[in-house]
Amino acid sequence: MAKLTDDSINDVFTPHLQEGETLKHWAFGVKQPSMLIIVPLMALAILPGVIATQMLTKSYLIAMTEKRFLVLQIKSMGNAEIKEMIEYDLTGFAGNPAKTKTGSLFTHITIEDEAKPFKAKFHRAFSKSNRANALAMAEALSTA
Amino acid sequence: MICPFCEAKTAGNPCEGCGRDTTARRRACPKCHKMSPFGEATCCHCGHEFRNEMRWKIPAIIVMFVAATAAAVAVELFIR
Repeated sequence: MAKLTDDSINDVFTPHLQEGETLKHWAFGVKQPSMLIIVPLMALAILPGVIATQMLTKSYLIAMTEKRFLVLQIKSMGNAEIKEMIEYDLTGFAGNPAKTKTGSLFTHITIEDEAKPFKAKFHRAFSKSNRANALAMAEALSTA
Repeated sequence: MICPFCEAKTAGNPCEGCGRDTTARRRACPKCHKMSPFGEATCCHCGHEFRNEMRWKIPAIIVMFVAATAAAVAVELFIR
């Protein structure tokens, strides 16, 4: 499994960009199942619990362009095959549906949109630029 | 702009060709790898029927835990 790099992430997003759009920031993140599911599964059996948690974890690539915020759900960190895509027009962020939170390890981004909800966390250790990019997007979303 | 579903040029939203919301949540068809609206049950390009991943993941997880429990019981009964 080859790890995603800046170039490969550019290649993943390029077919989904509109004319004249360029990627400003990108980040890789995950959405794990609730702790209310993880803890009982781990308590039942450790190895099946770990496997089940991994099976229920979703991997995301997010990116921001001049006009849009793009979310791609991909198969895994090593396989950037797209499963699902959500796009948000940055001009349509009235009412501020985006909630962001930053800790020492993770940057959390949540978009409370009825038709297109999104929630994921972005670890700083994924790449050198992951935290800076996630923070820049979180900042842009919360002030959009 | 290009409609992500019918791939025709359109001036705005919804698409002038297919009438779909060009910003709608969408998913890739596992068969033809083209994008279809998330709200449609079949692929708008090849007609492939989308199935929820949980249909196989939940039974697989249950089987895994049953197997782990059976293995633990077997170890307790026959090996110790």
